Amino acid sequence: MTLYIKNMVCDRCIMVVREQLDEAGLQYRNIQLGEVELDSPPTQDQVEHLSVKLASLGFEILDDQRSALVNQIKSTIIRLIHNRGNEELNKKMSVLLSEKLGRDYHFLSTLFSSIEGVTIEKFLILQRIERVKELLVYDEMTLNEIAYELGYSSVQHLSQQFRKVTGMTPSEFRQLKENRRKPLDQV
Amino acid sequence: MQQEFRFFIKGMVCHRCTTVISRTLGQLGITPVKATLGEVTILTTDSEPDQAVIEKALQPLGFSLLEDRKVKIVKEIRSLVQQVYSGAYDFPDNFRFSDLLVKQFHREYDTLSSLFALLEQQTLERYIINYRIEKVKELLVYTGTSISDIAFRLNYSSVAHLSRQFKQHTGLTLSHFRDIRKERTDVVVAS
Repeated sequence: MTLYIKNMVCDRCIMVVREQLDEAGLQYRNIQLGEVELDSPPTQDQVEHLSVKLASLGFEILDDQRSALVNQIKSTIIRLIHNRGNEELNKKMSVLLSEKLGRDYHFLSTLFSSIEGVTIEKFLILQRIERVKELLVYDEMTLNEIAYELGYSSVQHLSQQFRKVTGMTPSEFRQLKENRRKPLDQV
Repeated sequence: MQQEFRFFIKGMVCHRCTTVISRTLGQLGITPVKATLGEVTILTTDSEPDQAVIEKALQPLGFSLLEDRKVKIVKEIRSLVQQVYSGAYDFPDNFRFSDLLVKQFHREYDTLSSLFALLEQQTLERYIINYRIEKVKELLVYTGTSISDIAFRLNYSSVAHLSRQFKQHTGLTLSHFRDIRKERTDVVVAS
């Protein structure tokens, strides 16, 4: 039995969800971004209780198939951009998504757009720009290095895209002092 | 007296990260007054909270303190300066310290020099000049190195340049400095 959970974006989210499961006394086999694999189906009561607990932390249990699939797409993209294992950098996102989820990309992309109101490509760009912002704030890499790290073909391409999304250039962004970043689940 | 202290934390991406960090700090007896993505402000009565303890508590969660990296870079810049102006460095033609720095750190010079100035309360240029002048004094007093040799070993373009800078920073001429120091050999040269 798999529960699909919305808004999980990092290892801390996994940790927090795990704590909630332990507290509720639910046995699980595996927890990853957006997904919990339970040993046995929970009772209606248990699900409701867990759902309230998770909601207070900003999560949501998804019960319909389509939202669950959209959530899986999002988790795959977030994992790829933010907690990346390098091996997948070279693959195209469309190929990767259909491989991971075992569905035709056209189907996934239509579904995503109809539920989210933005395309997968746009979502990917937003997540990537958020990662650029994070790296800019750390001030440890040059823009050149960031572009390379995130697989942009050139710094120009990165700057242009950054400008399009945020309305400012990366160097203008560097000079901002407050409210620079968004939580990943709200991108 | 209580005062605010700000940390920069690497790896925070969502509200759960903020919650987890607040909780972990709470277990250490530290209460954050403000926690945003990448930044936590705490109130402390000590002059400075123990960063090592905090770092250790945050590491298993997948976070690290950013300040540490910056401090480390500045330390490396200082040691590069000391290495280059040790008196035994083999300077290539048209040597520029800024070029070497950029090559070694793969960061823009502006980034490095402003980082240095921020943490050290003096500019990198100022630090280099001071270090070189101290080195000149050392070579002048403790070794019999001639002034033209010192100028060469510390990569001054000419003896005139060295003399002028020395006069500007110490108010003394080179030869005068050597003479008065020779009379007082017990004086320790400041590093």
